[in-house]
Amino acid sequence: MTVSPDTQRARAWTWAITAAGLVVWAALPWFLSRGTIDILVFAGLYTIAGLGVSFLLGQCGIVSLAQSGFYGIGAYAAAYGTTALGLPIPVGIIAGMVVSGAIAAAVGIPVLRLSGHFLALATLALAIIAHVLFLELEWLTGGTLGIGGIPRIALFGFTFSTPFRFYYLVWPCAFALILFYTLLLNSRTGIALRAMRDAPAAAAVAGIPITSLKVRIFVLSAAVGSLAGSLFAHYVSFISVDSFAIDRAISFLLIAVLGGVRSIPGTIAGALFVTAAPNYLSRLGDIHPILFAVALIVAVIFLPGGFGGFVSSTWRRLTAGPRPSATGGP
Amino acid sequence: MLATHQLRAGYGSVAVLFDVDIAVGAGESIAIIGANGAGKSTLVRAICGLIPSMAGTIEKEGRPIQSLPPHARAEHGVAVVLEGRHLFGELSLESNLRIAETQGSKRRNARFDFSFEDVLDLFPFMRGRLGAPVGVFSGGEQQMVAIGRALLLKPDLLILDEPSTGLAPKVVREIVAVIQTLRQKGMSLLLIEQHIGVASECSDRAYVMSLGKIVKELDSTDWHDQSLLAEITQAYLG
Repeated sequence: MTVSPDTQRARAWTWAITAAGLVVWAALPWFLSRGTIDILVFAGLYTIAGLGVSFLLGQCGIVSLAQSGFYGIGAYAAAYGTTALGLPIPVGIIAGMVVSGAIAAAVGIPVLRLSGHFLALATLALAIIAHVLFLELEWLTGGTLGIGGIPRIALFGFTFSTPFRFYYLVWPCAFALILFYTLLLNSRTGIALRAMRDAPAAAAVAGIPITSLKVRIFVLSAAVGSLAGSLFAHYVSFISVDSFAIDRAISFLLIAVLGGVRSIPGTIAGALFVTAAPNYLSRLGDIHPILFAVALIVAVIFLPGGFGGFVSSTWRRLTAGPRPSATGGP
Repeated sequence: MLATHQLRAGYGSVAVLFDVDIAVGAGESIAIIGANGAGKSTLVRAICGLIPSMAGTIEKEGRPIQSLPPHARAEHGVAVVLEGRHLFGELSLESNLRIAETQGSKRRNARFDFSFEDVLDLFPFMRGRLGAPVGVFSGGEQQMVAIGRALLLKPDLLILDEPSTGLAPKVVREIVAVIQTLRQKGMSLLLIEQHIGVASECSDRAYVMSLGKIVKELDSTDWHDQSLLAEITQAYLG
């Protein structure tokens, strides 16, 4: 493979910025209040859940409103597994991912044959059914009372018990998933996905099993949503059905769209916006939901590709544009 | 190799093809001609599975394939170059070809074992441009990419839907040369073509379609009889 100097320079800058970002990320909690770190932890949790929604929408064109259901399954699997069954924490997390994946596969095979609005409505129905079940299956979920006393995650004797500590657990998980999804996009499967997006008919006759590929990405998305839910349960140690309603599914979809569905790291920006903006806007009084809505509309109008799309188009202009000096400067 | 019996297909609940019977023998090259809207491309889409069959059968070497999804038909050795080429425009030439190569490698003991290198030999312009996105290629080059991609599926039946449309005469000659090479190798071909001269040159016999039906079968003698072809052109393609 030959690599053009432009590409080489772009890569060097990408690495430099990534490294700088990691340093800032690692140092950040030392300078922030507990409340702010708590918001950042939620941003990390939502990044994980949002990644699944974003990749599914960006690469398969599937709008999923079911993510709150899988997030809930992950949370209840972690809670029930550790408190009622006394299972080790990883077993609960994995059980949640397996159950979520199995449900996604079972539902996905008939549902993913639908397209467009019907598909979105079907996933919405799935989220509503999940929410009702979380409420009704009291022996499992505790109903409206919820489940408390969920143990904290501990590794090598270190307990992730505070926002400060959990920050260093949730974000590495999010970064690992970003890396995983990036590698997936550049793998043979990812190329098949992009082919399917470019020319669906040609992809089908070129031997790509369209439906099964979509189902697999849906299953992955569900498992990732479940992982986020499990981490959430172990972080807050008390969960109730309110955390898994439809508004949560809409938040996850917003994160995907705001972050830019074609941009994997953009999901972080989407998650930061959705977790931080309501919090800061609420200081302005009762008008805050309206301001949040206005901010959303402005973001969608001016950044149709989401934050990620905006950054990558600006990035391309700077690194490969007709004026390469734009990146240098004195 | 391929036979349809009383095939009926269309879009939604509206049938476009009615009781279509065609047969392509092993190593044969068959043309389907007809005016715009005769149902030629619908027939192609029904054979490769992009639209469902409403009635009748499609058999590949005696095995019914009409209820299989498109990718499974490709695994049975049916490859198609769709009208308008349908390339993966954002992807590089190499990725376009490798996708098909990956799928083609699932076909064990294929009669026509086209490798990546074979395709580059067949279309030498591809060497040196493997990294370029195919969206920037010329129409003729894109047609060749589409043919190369189909060949990497290692088919024993290749369907070409309007391969010469919109191409300069010189490029059409190049495509014709490739088709003749494939015929010499003994690959079965189903050729949909508006250009009757090209169709006659590249095939053994032909079916004439009109309004979703096969209205005429032309054997080898008739199909290569220039005066008769002029009449057919007048009657069905004018």
